Amino acid sequence: MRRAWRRCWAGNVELKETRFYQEVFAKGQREERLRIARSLLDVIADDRLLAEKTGLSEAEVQALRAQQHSGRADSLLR
Amino acid sequence: MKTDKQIHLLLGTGADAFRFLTSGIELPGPYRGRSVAFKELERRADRVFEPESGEGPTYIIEIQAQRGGDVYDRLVLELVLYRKAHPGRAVYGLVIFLDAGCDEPDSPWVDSLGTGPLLRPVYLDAVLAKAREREPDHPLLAVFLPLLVDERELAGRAPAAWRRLESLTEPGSKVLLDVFLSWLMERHKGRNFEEIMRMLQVLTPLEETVAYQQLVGIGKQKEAQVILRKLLARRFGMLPPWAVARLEEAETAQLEAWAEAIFDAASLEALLGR
Repeated sequence: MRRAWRRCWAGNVELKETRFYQEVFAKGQREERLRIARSLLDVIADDRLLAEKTGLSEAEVQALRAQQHSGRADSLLR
Repeated sequence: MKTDKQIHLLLGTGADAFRFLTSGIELPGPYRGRSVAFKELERRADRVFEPESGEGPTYIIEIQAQRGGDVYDRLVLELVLYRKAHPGRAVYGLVIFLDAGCDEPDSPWVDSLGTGPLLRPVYLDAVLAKAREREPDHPLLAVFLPLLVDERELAGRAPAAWRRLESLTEPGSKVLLDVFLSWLMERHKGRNFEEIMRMLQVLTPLEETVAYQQLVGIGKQKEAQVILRKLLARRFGMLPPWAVARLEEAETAQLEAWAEAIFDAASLEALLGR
C-alpha cells in the first residue's frame, strides 16, 4: 500500500495513462471532430480534404453530408 | 555612521577577529570573505496562504512526497524572500511530509523547527491515523481512501466514500470529489469509466457526472486545436508562434468560431484578432 501511496503522490502514475481518462477524452475528441466537420460541410466541398483536416474518414464525412441533406429536406417539408 | 562595510572588513582579517566579533565562533581553518550576488533568487513556493483580510499570519507550505535533501533550505529561502517583500507581516513555513521517511533530519534547520517562523513538520500518514480515531467521518478521510487501503477494501468502501463526498455542499467540495476520483482512477488504471462508476454504484447517468463532462471538455478542446492548426496551416501557411500561443490559450467555443470563419478571413491576424 505504501508503494501505491508513494507512486500516486510522486506523480509516477499519470492520470492520462488510465483507461478511464483515455476513453472519455477520446469521446470528447470525436464529438469535436464531428462538430467542426458539420460546420465546414458548406465551406469545404471536397470530402477527402474535409476528412483529412478533421480526422474523420471519408465515409463519415459523406454520412454527415447525407444527414445535412435529409435535414434540409425535412425542414423544407415542415 | 555606516558600519557594515567596516565590520565585514574586520571579520575578513582572520580567525581571531571572527571569533571576537561573532562572540565565539571558531573557524576551523582559513576563510575568505566575499560579497555574493544571488542572481537566481526567483523562487516559486508550492503554496503561500495569505489572510484575505490582511489580518493574521501567512503560511508557506511545501509538500514533500520523497526525500529530496533540501526542502528546509528551500523553505527558509522562501520565508526570507517573503519577509523581504512583505515587511512587518508574520509568516510561517511548514513542510507536510507524506511520512517520517521523507523527512530530512540531517538538515541544519532541524533545530530551529518549532521555535520561530519554521514550524514543526507534519507527517500526513500520522495525521490521517489520528483522524481515523478522532474524526472518522471527516470527508478528507474519504478522499484519501484510494491511497490507504488495498484493492478489495477499496472496492467495498469506495461507494460510501463517494456518497459522502457527493453529499457535501460546502464551497470547494467539488475539489474533494475530483481528487478522490483521480486517485481512484490511478489505483485502477486498467478500468474504464463505466467500470469505475459501477464500482462506485453511481446512479447518476455517466454523461451527467462532473468528472465525465470535464474530461470530455478537455478532449474537445485539444481536438479543436489540432483541427484548427491543420486548417490554418492550409489557409495561411506555417503558423507563427503568437498564433500557436493563441490557439493553446483559447476555449473550445472560440476555436470553433475561428474554424467556421477561417475561409472568410483575409489574414491570420484578422481571424485571430492580433
